[in-house]
Amino acid sequence: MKLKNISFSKIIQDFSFETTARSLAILGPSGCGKTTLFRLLCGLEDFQGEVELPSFTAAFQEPRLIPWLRAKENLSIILGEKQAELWLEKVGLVEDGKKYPAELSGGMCQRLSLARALGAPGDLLLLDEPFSGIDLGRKDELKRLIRNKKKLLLITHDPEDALDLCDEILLVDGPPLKIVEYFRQTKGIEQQLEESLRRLIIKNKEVSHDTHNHQ
Amino acid sequence: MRISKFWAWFFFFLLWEVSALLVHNSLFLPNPRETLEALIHILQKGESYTFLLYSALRVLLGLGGALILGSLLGFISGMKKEIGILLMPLESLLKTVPVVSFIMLALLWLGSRGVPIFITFLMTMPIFWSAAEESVLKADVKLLEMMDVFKLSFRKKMKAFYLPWAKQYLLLAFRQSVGLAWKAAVAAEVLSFTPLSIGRKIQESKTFLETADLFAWTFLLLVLSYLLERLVGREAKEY
Repeated sequence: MKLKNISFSKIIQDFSFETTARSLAILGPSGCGKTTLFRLLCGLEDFQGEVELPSFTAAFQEPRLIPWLRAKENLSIILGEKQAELWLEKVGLVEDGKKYPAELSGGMCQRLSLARALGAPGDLLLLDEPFSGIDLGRKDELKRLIRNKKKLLLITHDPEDALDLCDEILLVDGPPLKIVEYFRQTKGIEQQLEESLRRLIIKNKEVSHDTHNHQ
Repeated sequence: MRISKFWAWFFFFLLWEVSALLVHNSLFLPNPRETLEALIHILQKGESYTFLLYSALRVLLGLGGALILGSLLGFISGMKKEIGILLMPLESLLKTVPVVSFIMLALLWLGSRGVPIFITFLMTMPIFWSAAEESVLKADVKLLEMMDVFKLSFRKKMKAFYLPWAKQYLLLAFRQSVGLAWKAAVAAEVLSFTPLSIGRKIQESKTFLETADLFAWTFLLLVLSYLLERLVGREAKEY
């Protein structure tokens, strides 16, 4: 994966990064430009710069299911009949295949959205905060399915998800989006990452406090 | 004060009865009883049903054509902005030119049998056009993005997304078009003297000064229009 001099409005300016890692997490506080980067990588915005990515599939923050299609149909239009059945089973929704999205809970919809991304062809899985509304037990099961996918790029604000799923972690801040620190999975990474994240949050709070006082 | 539909209709009939009494000339304004008699007389004649059926078929053909071509143009205009702008004059023209001008032109181009179908088509097509275009413009951007990310083919997008989404817009357009379709079709039948048509019967009522017949045929027209509207109305469903 290679990003070279990426710029998009004021949110991302001259952002570059290159890695051969199998899985990468982009970890940072809300509103720093992570989701904008995700949209650029998905090809949903016009931007300046170069991106080199293998073929990919994606799951968004929201499930984005077609409301008039049943759960299984939402999968089968992308994956085909057989794969749809298989993935419904893998994410524990076999019995809910005939339900419409409005009849499913938020977590169930999110699982369906993940199943769609996991089952679709593509070498890289792009995920933007994929676990919102999913309970802990299910989360571990889904993480196991995600690890089986060849390559992963995870956008998250949760250090635990990043540590569980990725070989490399980029701690970012912004806007404009910038890399604060780079981590590779080694012994003791948890403490280092936690410490850096804590420092970043304290720094951001101080900045926002100062700005507030000046106003 | 709240007035129920029943009392509104009752008041209307009362007004009609009183007006007919005051005019006291069934040539100008037949009373409800005379109209009812004319209606029963019409319904007792077998040939009346042929006229009703043929007129209804013409309206349905015109509406069907308008639905197909209007939707197609609407989808194209919505998806490709440049084509939408290019076609805008045609849409405005169809919406503003008086129906009579089109009827006269159509009489020159087509035989009298084709005119009502063509006029119904022409008058209602812009409604379907606008509805389909609006459905595209108001489609959920997040779902469109999702389909782009998964590289869904155009055919699949149409089948799974655009057509079911546009259905509610097109059904509403259909309900809005039915009344206009009947008005336009019968006006065209009257002016082109179409054989086997309600319009022709209305024209004959005028010629033979049988005003009660004219009222009765008009009533039948309202009933047919209402029935067609109800038929589609039941299908309407919102997501």
